[in-house]
Amino acid sequence: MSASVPQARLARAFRGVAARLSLALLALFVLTALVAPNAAPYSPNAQPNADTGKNQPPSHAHPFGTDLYSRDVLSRVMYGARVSLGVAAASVLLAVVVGTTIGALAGFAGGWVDAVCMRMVDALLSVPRLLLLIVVVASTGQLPVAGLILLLGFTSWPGMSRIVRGEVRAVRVRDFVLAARASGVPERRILVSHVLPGVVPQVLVAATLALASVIPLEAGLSYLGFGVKLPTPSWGNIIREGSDTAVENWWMVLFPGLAIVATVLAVNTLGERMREALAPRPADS
Amino acid sequence: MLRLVLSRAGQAAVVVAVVATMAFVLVHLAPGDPFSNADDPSFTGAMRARERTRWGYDKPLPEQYVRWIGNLARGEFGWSHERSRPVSDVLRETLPNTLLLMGTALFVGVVAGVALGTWQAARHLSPAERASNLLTIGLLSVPEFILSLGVVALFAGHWRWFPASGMVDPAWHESFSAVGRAMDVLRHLALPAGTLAALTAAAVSRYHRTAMLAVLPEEFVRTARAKGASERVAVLHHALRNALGPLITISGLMLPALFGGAVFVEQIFSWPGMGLTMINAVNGRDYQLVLAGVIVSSVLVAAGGALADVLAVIADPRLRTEA
Repeated sequence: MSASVPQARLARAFRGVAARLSLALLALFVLTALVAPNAAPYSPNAQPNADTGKNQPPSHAHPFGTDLYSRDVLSRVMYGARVSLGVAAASVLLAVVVGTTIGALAGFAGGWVDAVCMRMVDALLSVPRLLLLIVVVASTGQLPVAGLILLLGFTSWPGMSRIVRGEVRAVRVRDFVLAARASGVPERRILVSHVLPGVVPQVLVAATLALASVIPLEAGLSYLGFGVKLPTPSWGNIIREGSDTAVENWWMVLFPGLAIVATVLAVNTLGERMREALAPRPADS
Repeated sequence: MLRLVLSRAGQAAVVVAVVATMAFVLVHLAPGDPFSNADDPSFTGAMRARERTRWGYDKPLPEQYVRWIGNLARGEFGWSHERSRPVSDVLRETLPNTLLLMGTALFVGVVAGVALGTWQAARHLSPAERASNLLTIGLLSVPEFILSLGVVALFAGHWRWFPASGMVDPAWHESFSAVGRAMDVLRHLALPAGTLAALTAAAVSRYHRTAMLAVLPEEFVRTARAKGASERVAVLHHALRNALGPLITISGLMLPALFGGAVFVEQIFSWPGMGLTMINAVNGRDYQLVLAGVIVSSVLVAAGGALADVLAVIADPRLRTEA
């Protein structure tokens, strides 16, 4: 019976070599992001020698080479981790808050509230998200980082709210909810302290998978020049600066590219493991 | 059946209306208009005011909105200020190129994905299957623009197998015969469509592998084997057919991602389609063109999704519940 508790099942997702490797990799990247100001070999915007020091291939002094302005690519990738991971984490957090609130209200209230919310979700989910973001950028110009977080967060919640709604609808008819209602617990407290805790594992899974879609989205926007403003480095806009000469100066594209792919792969691996661990199995029923 | 078609068409129309309204509000709530960032010093405030009046930007927003929706319904997408020509002309030129790119990618991707997924299910848990599984998960973790840059650098830059950009050879295309021109387009199509197709195939194979694994232990497959059908016939004839059902729906679900991916692919391969046009329009603050691009894309995605749902029901009568 204890194996059926969602929290215990979720913990199983983190066993195994692939999950351990993914966790270790993410821990390394997060640590890099946190200590970048102390650990980076150079300042991310220092241009030590704009004439002879630019476009240098990887060397002992510059393991990831230097860019068009002789800046150290390794330092920019390390600082880029701060921006890219920070923007992704903050916007997913925002999406969790908005998505859980709307999903919980829709699922708990039912009726027309539910219908209106879910039609809105359908509409948002069927638009190519990149195009929606492009419209916003077209009208506002390149956004500051906080604006980018709001934008990504407020376009990430629909999928999340649908999952929360489904869970809430499943949980609200369970016996312990009826028991709470029968003993006179107010509706709001039933939702907050009896229904919502049961939703947490699924929200964690959805948030992990949302992270795996927000990271490429921020990188893609920054690559197109619609995301994080230069000279602030993000993994996407480092690639943008190197992409015109990607064949000759491959190191400007390869290293930030690897950072993005490794992060997304690790997050995807963990997300899939968590989803599988929570999926209903014949053995549990 | 008719009811299903009507209700899905209605849903698609609502989605498009919501998207159009959202896009309009977003664009018009933001400060500025196409005339506010003219760098030309001879472009005075009075001239700007005259242009605003001329194009109706001085009217109250609800009035602009009604007029805009009315024009859209008549197929008039407005005027591209940057290109000094009607937006519909720009769309007529670029949309077919995008459809060629995406259509090829969707077709090749779905066929390859089904083939891969079928093979994976038949060889479930073998080392080769595990390796191919890792490959598809890995591929799905590579953002479109990074994959495209890698493909350009290797297949066009390093090995020079295919041209890196454009849709035709700029110097020689006009001098080719009809067959030569088609071959020229195909050569240019190979890398961008191949990139999108690879990503589509990876996604489709994940779904299809799961569907096949669900079908293979079924009794009718066992019956087929018991009757002496070869493993090949049991898998390809009996199991595959029954796993193909969700595929139509899945192809419809691929469309939003395909549109998003096409934006990057067109930008990197300089493919003269709607995605590239939209990016340039954003940089030029060419609102009408950006709006038109978003609306045409959402119409195509919504229509594609609705069509896929209807086709899925036609293909599988068990789905006809009339609920």
